[in-house]
Amino acid sequence: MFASFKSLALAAVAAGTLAGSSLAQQKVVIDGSSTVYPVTEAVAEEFGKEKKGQVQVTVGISGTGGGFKKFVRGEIDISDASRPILQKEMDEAKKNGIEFIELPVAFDALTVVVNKENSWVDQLTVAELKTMWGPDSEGKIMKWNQVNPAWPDTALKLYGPGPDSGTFDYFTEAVNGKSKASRKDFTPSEDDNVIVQGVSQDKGALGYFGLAYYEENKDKLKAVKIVNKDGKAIFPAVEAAKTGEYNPLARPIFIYVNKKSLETKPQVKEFVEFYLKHGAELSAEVGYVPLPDKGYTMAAERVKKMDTGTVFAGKESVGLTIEQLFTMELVK
Amino acid sequence: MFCGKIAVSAMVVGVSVMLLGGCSTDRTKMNEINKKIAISEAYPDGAPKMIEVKHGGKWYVVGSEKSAVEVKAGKPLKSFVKSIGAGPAGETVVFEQDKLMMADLLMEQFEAKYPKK
Repeated sequence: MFASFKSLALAAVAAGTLAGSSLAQQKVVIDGSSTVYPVTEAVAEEFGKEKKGQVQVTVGISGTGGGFKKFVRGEIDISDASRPILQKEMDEAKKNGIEFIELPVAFDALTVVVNKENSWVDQLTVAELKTMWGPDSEGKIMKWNQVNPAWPDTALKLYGPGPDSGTFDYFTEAVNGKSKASRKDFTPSEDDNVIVQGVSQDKGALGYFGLAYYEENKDKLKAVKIVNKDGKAIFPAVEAAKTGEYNPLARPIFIYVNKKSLETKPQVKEFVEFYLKHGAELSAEVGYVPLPDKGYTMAAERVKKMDTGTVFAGKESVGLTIEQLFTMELVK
Repeated sequence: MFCGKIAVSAMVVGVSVMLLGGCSTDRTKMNEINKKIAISEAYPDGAPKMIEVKHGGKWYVVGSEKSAVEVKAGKPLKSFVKSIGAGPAGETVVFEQDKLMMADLLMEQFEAKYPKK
């Protein structure tokens, strides 16, 4: 009860300070997914150069869930998300009179990494990942040879995104069959750089995050191929995510824009338009898979028409291909 | 102890609502009161005070001496908010974040020190 009072008070303060100052000082306030962060950061930096410092773009990393908590209370203009908005978040938004526009901005190949010195693993099946990460493995599967007897008697140290992360939600849904279903005895962090550090310093470690973080740290880590539904071991890469071969760990990433911010803050509209115009080149630059041109055209059309809602109807979606993403209808 | 805090906080909020119900100036005052309560609840030992650090060509604003030392040593901040164009000449500034409201408070202090014209 104390916690809920405190969070309400904090929310009131944040809403007061951010909303008030955003209007007065030409601000764009963004928070959410650490996976989407590198793209949004790159866009914000380019936008900043173009605007010559006249618009302040603030980008936080509180995880997809953390970002949505702020977004549905109207505290931020844009929410970075590595999974679609969920029903409970939509309900909360509706209660607070928040309408949103869902914009896919790129595809990611969620990447499983091990230590550079790990010589025994080059590929993993989804079943092996489930043995490592399943809720039933907590306190039981503690060594590599318990996952596969051919592997050494080395302590298995797991690193992953925390429960506020969309990457955690997606991974647990794809691997364990239920969003947020995971063993809890691993080292969680909303900051993927902490996972990079942890895995790079421990020979028996394994972790996962968005492809961009692997691309940036490939000198320190080893990425593992994932065996797809056709039985082929596929390396996490842009092309494999684009063709749909890298399944089930390829997924779309999004920004959600507050409709009222688009209508009342010209700088937000300008920023979103800039995002969609340069999204392809900048998402590729940071290591993600750009959408085909029609994806950005469709997104720009949604912004122009102020087309609110989601194509996911408040549910998680695993194994979606880029083509499938564009055949889905918006649900208000 | 928490229940006592809630009761006191609720009374303060309630009284402020009764005294200030109505116009926007009053609402602003009420927000200020609520904000002070929230800050004291979040940081019982005092709200973080901003410390500026320039390191590796970047401008950091952190909330403790410990973080300042770590940033100077090249250690990345565990959690942060990056604000492009926040500096007086449109520079990028990285604000330390925690699980509460540190980045918001540091940004406020920063904006007070470097008001935008």
